Amino acid sequence: MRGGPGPTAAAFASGEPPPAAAAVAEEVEENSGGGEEQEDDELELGLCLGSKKQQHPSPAPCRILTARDLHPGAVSPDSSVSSSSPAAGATATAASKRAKAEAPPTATTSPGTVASGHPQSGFGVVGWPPIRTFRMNSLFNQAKDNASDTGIKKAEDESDVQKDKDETEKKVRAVGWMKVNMDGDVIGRKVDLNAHHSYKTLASALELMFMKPSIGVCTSSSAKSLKLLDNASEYQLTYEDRDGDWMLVRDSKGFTEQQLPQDAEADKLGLSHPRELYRW
Amino acid sequence: MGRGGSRAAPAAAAPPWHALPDEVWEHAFSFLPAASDRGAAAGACRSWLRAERRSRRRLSVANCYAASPQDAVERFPAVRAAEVKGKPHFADFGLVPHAWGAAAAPWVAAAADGWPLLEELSFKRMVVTDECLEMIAASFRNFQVLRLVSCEGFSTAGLAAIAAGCRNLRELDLQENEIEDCSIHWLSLFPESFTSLVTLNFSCLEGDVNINVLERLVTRCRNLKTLKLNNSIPLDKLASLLRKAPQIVELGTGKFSADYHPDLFAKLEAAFAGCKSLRRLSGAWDSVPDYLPAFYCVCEGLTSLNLSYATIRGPELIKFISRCKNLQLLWVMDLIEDHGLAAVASSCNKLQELRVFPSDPFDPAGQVSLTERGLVDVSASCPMLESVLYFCRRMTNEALITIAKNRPNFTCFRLCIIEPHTPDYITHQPLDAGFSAIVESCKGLTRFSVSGLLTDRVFKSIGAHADRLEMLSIAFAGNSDLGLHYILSGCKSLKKLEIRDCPFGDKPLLANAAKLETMRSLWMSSCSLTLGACRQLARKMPRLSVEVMNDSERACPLDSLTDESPVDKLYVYRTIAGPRSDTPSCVQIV
Repeated sequence: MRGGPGPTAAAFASGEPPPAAAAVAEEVEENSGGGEEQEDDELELGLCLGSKKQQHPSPAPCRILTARDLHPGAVSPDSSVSSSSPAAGATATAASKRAKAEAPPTATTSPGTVASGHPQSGFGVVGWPPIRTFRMNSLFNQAKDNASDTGIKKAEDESDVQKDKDETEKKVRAVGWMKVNMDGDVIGRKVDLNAHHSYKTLASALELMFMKPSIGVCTSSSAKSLKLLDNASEYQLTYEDRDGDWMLVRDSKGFTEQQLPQDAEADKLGLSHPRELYRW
Repeated sequence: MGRGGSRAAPAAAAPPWHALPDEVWEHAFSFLPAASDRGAAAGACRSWLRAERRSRRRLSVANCYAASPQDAVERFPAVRAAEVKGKPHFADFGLVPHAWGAAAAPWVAAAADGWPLLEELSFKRMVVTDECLEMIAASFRNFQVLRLVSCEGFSTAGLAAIAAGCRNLRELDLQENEIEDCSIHWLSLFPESFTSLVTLNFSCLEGDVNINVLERLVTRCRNLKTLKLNNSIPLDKLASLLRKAPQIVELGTGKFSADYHPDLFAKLEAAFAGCKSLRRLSGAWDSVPDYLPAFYCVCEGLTSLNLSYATIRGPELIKFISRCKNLQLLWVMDLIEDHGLAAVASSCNKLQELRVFPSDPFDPAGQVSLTERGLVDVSASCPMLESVLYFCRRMTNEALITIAKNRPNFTCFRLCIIEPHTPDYITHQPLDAGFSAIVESCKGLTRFSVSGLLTDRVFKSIGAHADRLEMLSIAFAGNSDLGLHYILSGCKSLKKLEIRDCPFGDKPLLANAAKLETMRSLWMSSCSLTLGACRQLARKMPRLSVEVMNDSERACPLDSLTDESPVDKLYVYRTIAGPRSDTPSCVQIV
């Protein structure tokens, strides 16, 4: 499974270094090695089930490719997106209520889609491996606590390939899920930041999650993109840093700071990477 | 049976058995423990049907949409304990659309109306609101047991209603629910006069509880046997709670991390030493192996140990488990590694159930050394092992064949090789031979989950050999329609089939439509189904409900879609209630 869908990947400037808030870079850390695959323009759908190549230590990505891929021009969009079952309305309210009450970080354990990201893949496979959401959230919280204990260092500022070699950060690998909300949409989603190596792929993943892709989206041509990293688009990709300020996700050149209504949870960890990504 | 006047009259002939009054049959049926036996009896004749249903005390509704609540209440008017399950199993992994359904409210309402003497209510994978809980508290004078498993939709306000209103509550068992924290001190609402609690499990609750209130509650409930705390209870408080409830049989410690202090260690050790009846232990033990020896005194008595939320590893963990010689159930993280399982194999010979969960599911490199080796060792040395859930990253056919030979007594075998399509890592062959060996050897297998690289061949074996199999889970497996056909045309006892990401299409579904009525449910997602086939299926089988779900964000009126449109998710179940009326826009009944 390649990094990002073709159309939106192309929409973003390539080779963007992480913003001055290099903190954000930490979330998009990547695991050991593996080729950078997000440069491909096409979403590779041609997987033949049953003829999977031999496994290696750095295996081919988990697929969201399904038998549907054998029906090109399918109406229904990518399964990993469509099957997202984000927080129920009740719990979305719960999340915001908790936020207002300054709940502990564990409050992010709203039932969401854990966009289970295989580190090599762009989007991972929803619901795989088959671990109950409750347990996943517990792993998430534990790893987070461990991370704060060991004190994660900031990742080096690199090009869009953010290789993070810090051992302790590997512990946070399972932690990479971040809650994402779109303005005007009560249903939040979760995205696995560890599955993304650059803003391009992250932004495209978010677009797929929140947009209603047009028919036949899984080709390089169609999908209108939100162009999240583009100043001119309707929606902007932002995150809340530890001071509670909302920052635009940008490269270091275009970095700006924004103050936004806080319905996010405060960052309690003291890590310099933001806890949540929000769009406004 | 003559009355006065006749002297030494010969006993009148007893009425023929089929004319015995209902009460006799009801009494007879009360000796049938299993619902299936009662169901069979009810099918014998009309009078047995009548007697059985009027005396049925326990009702289990495995699919809340299989019958309407009103039907259930009317048919079984004497029910005292009801269990209702809602969403399909794959909802646990986020595959079922939000707002799919499974509201508990209609069941609570019907029960309030028709079962005023209801004592026990259990919901699994359902949406339970605070209003539901309030209604429960208000409607059943002798309500005793509330069990909620993997539910959502309620808050501590609902718990407060239960605490305040259920005077005879014995069990409050909350397992892995999503509970909104309204910062209501629900625990304080148990009246001071309330002493009947036997089970209190609030381990899934995220907020704080008032420790003093909890202590007073624990102190006055002398019959408390099960206490499962949440993460808010610090270690020193655990020690004092244990001193108040030394009779405890099952303990969930909640968060266990703390820096090591000899005083605290001594306190804990003393507290545990007092718990002579402790048999089941669980908790989120985050750290500090130094505290483990405080538990040593209870190890020998433990029959159940759930460390699956504990990140403890290394020699301390192994030392601890090795002392638990009477363990029947062990749930751990893969941090135990192969050598840890080897120690389990040699120490815990009474083991019946083993579950090994991944500590880092998304790590491709697998920093933890847990392989097929561990499972082979345990299967070789634990003769009573019958239930396994095992997450690992590699497997071989040979290992599976060995396991199958060692342990023909498996009833539940669930193996999850984390990377889809992983072949035998030595021969690079599909794992067909290995999984086939399991079904061929384990004649009593009732639950089976397969993974790794698998072709249609394994399904041929399963279809042919798995006669007692009731639940089968398949993911990323098979290569053609044949695979599904083998399953549906075989597997005599199949009740639940759940499939994701397999190249199974319309043909086997339609060819085996009748089979679906003998099953409770079928889930298929990300397969090769078309809407046309679903329509055909629905037409052919009016007693099945055929639900189709596509993009959860977009309500696409089914009528506008052609027969060729692919179906992302299909959920089919038998029902006597007809099509349900509470589907969200993303779910459509064909």
